[in-house]
Amino acid sequence: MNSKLYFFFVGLVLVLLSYGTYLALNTGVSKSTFSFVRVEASPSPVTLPVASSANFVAGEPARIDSEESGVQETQTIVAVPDATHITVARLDHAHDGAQTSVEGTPLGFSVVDWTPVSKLLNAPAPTESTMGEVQRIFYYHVPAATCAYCLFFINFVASILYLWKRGQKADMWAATSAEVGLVFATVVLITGPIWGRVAWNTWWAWEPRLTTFLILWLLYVSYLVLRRSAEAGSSSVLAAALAIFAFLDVPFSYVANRFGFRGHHPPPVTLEDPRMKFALMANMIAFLLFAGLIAWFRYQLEKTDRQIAAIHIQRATRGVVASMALPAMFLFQVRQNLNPMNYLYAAYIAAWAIYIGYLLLLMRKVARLKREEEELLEN
Amino acid sequence: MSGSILKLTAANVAKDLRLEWRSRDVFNSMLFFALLVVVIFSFSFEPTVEESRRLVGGLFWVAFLFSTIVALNQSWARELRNGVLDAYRVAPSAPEALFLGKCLGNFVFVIVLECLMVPLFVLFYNLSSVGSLWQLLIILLLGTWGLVINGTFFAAMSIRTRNRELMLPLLLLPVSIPAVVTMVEATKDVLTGEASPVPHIKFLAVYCVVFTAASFLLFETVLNAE
Repeated sequence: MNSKLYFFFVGLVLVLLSYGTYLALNTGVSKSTFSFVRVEASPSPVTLPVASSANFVAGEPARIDSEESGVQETQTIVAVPDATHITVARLDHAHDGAQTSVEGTPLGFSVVDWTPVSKLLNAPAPTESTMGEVQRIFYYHVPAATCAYCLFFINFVASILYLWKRGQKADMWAATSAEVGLVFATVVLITGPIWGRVAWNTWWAWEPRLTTFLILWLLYVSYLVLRRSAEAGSSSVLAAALAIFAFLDVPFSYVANRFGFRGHHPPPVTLEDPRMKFALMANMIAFLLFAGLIAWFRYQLEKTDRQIAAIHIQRATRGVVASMALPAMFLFQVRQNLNPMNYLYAAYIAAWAIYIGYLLLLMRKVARLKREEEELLEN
Repeated sequence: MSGSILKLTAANVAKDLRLEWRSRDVFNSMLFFALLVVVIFSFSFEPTVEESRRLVGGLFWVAFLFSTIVALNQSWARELRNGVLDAYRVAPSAPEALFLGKCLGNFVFVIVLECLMVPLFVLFYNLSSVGSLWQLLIILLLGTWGLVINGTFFAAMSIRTRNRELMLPLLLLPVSIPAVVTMVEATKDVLTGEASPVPHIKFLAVYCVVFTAASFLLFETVLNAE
């Protein structure tokens, strides 16, 4: 790749990353309210009595959603007559907010503002209603997990190719993808507990997805340790064999953990709002490109010098352990009015600390390689 | 050809067992190690009968996991002396026979160890099972095979590394976590009688089949890795 194209690509990734972060972090006002009255379908404007009509504006679309019966529709608000009423253009379905659940609490239906697709580009994600601000960690957490899974899959494919054809290229890709994948997996494992502390009131739940991911992380740490300590010459073959075992192990660990920890299922996150989906998509694309860029960069380094042992992960892991040990006192504090914003920023900063830390380590490697090259040229 | 593989395997197993019978160094260290684990756990928990039914599955398998590692570290290291492993590499015999022989040998060691340790567990923890014992036997056999097959494979891998003894647990433990979790759960289910262990047993069977197949496919590659 020529250097102009390369810098263009780096710039594009940086722009996408900041755009995704803007969408994720910029607090969009979520207008959401409830109604506990039965309304019928009607072709003419209907006035809904709601808990509060604050922030709703005439002319914008709103989603009326009866969660119990699953009836949803999107209608335009035509007027906001007073603080407890919203008028919509029409209703295609009846919504029974007067119904009560088995426990006797009124079910109600929700009215939420709804951004049309045409305006999504500049629509920051609104605050999630049940988990609050801290849910925004999701926009970093999930793309990092996706990147890690993709890179580990590349590692598996490259390992098989290496065992089959014994090409150096496949081996370099295997080494690269495992290392970069581990960086992204570390981000997932750091941001996850920060989120869980606020959302589930615990740093760690022995829940299938979390546990599987932890085992995955351990497997690839052992993969990199093996790469480093195997006898010269045999390390690529042994590592490829281990990669196949690691990949086979993932479905087993998921199933085994479903047996082991019954009844610890935190609610899965479903993104209803189109703005949330859009923010997630933007971040997903940005981080996948980012991961591709790092992996490509790392691959070039690997190519430049295969002889120098990869010390990066070791250092990175040491850094992570140190940064986790420092706030240990803070980890054990009893829950009392946690400020979700602090946790949100902590997760974002931790994610960037790991990415940038890893990139700095790569830079150091570049500097060292250059120095060695110069020394070689002098002699 | 299959006859010759079986013969070779039998020869390998017989050689391993004879060596062990004469020296007993692996078995003694395994037995003593497992005994120590049992005693130390027993001191640190002092469980009641009810509690011990819940705890003992975990203690039992952790004790065996660690003592299996003690045995596995020895099993290939023994072949390094006098260049025996290199001789195997150049010999025209099937490497699968060598691997199967090692697995069976280790399997016998661990099973014998378990037969000796189970009465001790019953004694120290006042155990009595609510569920049926034959299920426990199946879990024991499948779980041991799962540990031994992966263990033998990764031991063959770890002797190729610089820090051999240290490397084996690092490689073996992450891959074995799913199997260990399931063995512990299944044992607990049988002992407490609270749930059926059948899904766990099926899981263990699938695990054993998949990893046995993977080990046999990749063993030759690992043995000849240069």
